[in-house]
Amino acid sequence: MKSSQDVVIVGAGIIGSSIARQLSQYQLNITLLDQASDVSCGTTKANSAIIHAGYDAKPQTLQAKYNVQGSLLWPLLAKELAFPYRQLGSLVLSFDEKQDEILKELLNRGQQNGVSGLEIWNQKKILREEPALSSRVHSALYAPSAAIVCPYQAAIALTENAIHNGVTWLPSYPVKKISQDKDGFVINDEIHTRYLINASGVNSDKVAALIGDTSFTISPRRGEYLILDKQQLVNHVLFQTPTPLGKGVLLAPTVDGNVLLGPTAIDCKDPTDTQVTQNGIDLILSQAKTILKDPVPPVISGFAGIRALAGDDFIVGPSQVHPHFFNCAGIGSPGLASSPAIALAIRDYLQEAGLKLIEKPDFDPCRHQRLPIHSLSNRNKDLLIQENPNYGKIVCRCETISEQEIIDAITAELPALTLDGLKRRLRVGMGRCQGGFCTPRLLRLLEQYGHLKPAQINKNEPGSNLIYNETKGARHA
Amino acid sequence: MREFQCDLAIIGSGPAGLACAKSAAEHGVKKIVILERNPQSGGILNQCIHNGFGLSVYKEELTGPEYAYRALQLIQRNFPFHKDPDMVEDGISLFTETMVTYISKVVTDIAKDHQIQALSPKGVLIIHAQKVFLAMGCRERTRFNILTPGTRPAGIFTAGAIQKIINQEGLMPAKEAVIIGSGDIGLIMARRLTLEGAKVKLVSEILPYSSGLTRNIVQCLQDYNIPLRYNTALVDIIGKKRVEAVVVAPVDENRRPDLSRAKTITCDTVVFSVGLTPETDLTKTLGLVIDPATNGYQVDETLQTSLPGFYSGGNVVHVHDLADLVTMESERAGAGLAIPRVPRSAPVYLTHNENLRYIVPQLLRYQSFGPLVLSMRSTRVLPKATLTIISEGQVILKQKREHVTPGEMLVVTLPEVLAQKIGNDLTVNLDEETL
Amino acid sequence: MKQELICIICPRGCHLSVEVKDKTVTSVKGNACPRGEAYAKKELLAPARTLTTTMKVEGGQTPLVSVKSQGEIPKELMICAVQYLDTLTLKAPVLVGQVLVENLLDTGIAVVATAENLEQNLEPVA
Repeated sequence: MKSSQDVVIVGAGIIGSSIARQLSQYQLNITLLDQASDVSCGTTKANSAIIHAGYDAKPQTLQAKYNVQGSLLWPLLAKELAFPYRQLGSLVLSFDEKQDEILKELLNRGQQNGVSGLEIWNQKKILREEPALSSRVHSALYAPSAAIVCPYQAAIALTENAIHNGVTWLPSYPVKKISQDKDGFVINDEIHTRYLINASGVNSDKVAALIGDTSFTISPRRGEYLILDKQQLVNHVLFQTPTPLGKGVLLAPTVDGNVLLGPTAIDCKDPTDTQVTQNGIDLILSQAKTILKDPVPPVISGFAGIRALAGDDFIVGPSQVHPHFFNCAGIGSPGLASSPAIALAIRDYLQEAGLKLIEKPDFDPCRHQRLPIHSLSNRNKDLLIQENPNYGKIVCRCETISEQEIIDAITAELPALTLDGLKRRLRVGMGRCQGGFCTPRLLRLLEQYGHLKPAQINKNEPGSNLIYNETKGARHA
Repeated sequence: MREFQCDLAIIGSGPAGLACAKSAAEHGVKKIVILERNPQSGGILNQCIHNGFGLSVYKEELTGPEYAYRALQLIQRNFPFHKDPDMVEDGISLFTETMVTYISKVVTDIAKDHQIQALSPKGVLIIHAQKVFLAMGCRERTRFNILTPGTRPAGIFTAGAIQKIINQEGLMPAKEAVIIGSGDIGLIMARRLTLEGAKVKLVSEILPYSSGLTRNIVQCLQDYNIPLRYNTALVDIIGKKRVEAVVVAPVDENRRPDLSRAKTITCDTVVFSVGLTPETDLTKTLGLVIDPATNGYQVDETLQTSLPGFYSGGNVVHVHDLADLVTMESERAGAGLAIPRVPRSAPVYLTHNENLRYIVPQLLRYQSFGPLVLSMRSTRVLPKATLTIISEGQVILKQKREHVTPGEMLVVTLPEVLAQKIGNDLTVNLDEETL
Repeated sequence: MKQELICIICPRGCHLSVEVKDKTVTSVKGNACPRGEAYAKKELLAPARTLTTTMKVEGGQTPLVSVKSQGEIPKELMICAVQYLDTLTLKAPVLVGQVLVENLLDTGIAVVATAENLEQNLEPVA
């Protein structure tokens, strides 16, 4: 049996990694584990990437509370952990008088929730700020605190910092069994822990059921997205006026300069059903068309994510079955925005449940990240390349990523050992060529520095290998 | 940081870059710098190990690597040649593993040069050039460029990527493949995959004709009994970890798939060969005019772009079907940028009828100087056609053409005596001949 | 008997119309050059192709070198020929035009390198 832990966090999405990082400042033995080989492989890797302002959630809900609290915590997180965060503000667009009325309701709700700075903009103001929009736009609700981040970069940064502060990261570890003893829980007959936090996204109902907690069921809902090439198309996060059918398709810049369109909202039985459908593509493009003045620019990529819903609100707190088992479940939108607040809430719950929180004197809240080579001045580029010439070898030409940056990611403490892992950390293969030019080189670098055989190099999880064997000799062997 | 001056900076050392360097040197340009991001020159030719290159330029059939080798040899034998030199001297200097990150135009009176910034394992390199030749080639269109629905498992490749993985890395990424699109690289890869032991179950083409060369359909598909289905669209990709199957369906004349006749084909690999597009992104901030018909730079008869001093040739201007044509076009650019010419009073913009998709050059800026070469593509298949070149109402040239297809570029050379007849307009018409 | 063929000698792809009688070609039409006629005769009676593939290299800068048959080999031998070449391993350096196999599967045709692959740690010519 592995050494006994104070806290085990099941699930390394944005919620699990936020909790891990939050708790890493105390003198505790903590393990963060995930069934996947990397962090942020579930809902966190595929969502709208927006820190909502908080006017949307119904007052008095956990969603409203954590969203408004959480959105205020992001700027400091981004600064400490060196990941991109841009507070662009959002606009909810109205295209007729009926929708104008709904905007007023949203304004009202936002003020009740404690969202500051909300304004109603008229058409003239909207078109001045967003010249690419259709002149059919009527009015808009402006929320200055809305922001964009990259959710998986944030989860990676949080986990890296948690590891830096002593948290144990355990990848590829599915939880199949949880038994209880007088002192806590034993996971898979291997890991003992006093406290257990269930942040396992689409699997959270199954993990809760392992201790007999069947108080909630997860309903997966798929959201499909399209991505446009880098361009300055819009300046804010643009939402449509919500209807009883949903929030509609949004249009937002990403922190990397692309434009994101989506999502659709399709209830699905299979929590791993991340297909992009023809209907989804058609719906997203037709809605984007109604928002924009000119034709929708060319698409470079598409993806789908699963939101793990459990009723109308988040479930955050101790399980009814065991006071030392905590659920963070049903974290749909605005889960990303809420995650820092949920992490704080879990800390408080743990303390209430008897966990002693003694601060570490040597806690380091900062992630010490080298800036991407392409963002440096010529002088600093030269200094870096002098130190290691591989920083001057550009592998990914769409995103200007050097060979050494890829090697650094492969050999990091939270290593990227798959193509998707590299993609999420460095954006290699995410540009307009979608990996056409750099994939062969990435395979060789993963082979050499990740100590993998070509056939062991996966896109993401085992079974997603790109290569079967060497061309020469292998088939005669 | 290294900083050099030169007369001509060439970005890319594929067939376009090498041909322009040779031709410019032949026409007296002294200091030429070529910037190449790979460790060796030749560009994509190095991964095109098949034959079919060189018939026009070298009068013999070569493979891609041999063609690249010849092009470099011609430079090495005839001009002072320096590879990765410590300083730039007269002759042709090739900088490898050097990735251009930024180009700026400087048009003040003090500095009349254009500045190119690049990164290499030796550090930042800045090149001040009187003239620039853009030879970045093209990139492949991808699965989402054509809005293909489905999952995103491992096993989805562009034809060029799988070509590089097999031919240069020696790795085998496929057992059973379906190829989407019948462009040349797709056809070549169908044969290559077969020879390396994979089974190619289908080549699926949404159009009623192939955009690849006919000879490749014969020697890459028919030789190995690989089925090619026209008017067929890919409508779904199935599989979570690795591709498990694709769904294809016949399309109507508006390219809408008939899902009631959809068919599932099990396979572990999907190869996209759905077209190439010029790689012009490097000059986005310079605002060079892009022709929406080619997605490449708009050029005049000297291959000069809309920005004075910036020339271009090869696949970044328009996608060619043969490297030989890229070489010949870029040789014209090398001459064009070296020889001063007398401008016309006003540029002549070429026009064409609906049977032509584009013509390069898009405009004429100079008074007639030697033969004029026009490259063009048809919009549809024409078994028999007449090509007519008209200026100010006068027919300058009339030619009969057979088996015209959008997949094969039409090249017309107007001898100088005819080129001199061009007045203040120029129209090229391609008309179908009814039998 | 009349047969339609597409000439693959060059990328032009002439559409040939060929008359065959008693296993001999009696007429070829549609060819733009004499090579088309020769092709039609050969294609119908003894089809052959140039093989291009890769071979494994030990101690080189890259794991492979591209190669070709220095002439055409019978079409039906293409796959066998690749399988045979896959069993061989070359030693760097390999130079362009270097003969690697003198007589490929008793066809009398040699296999030559179409690219160079110099020894590791040596600078390539370019």
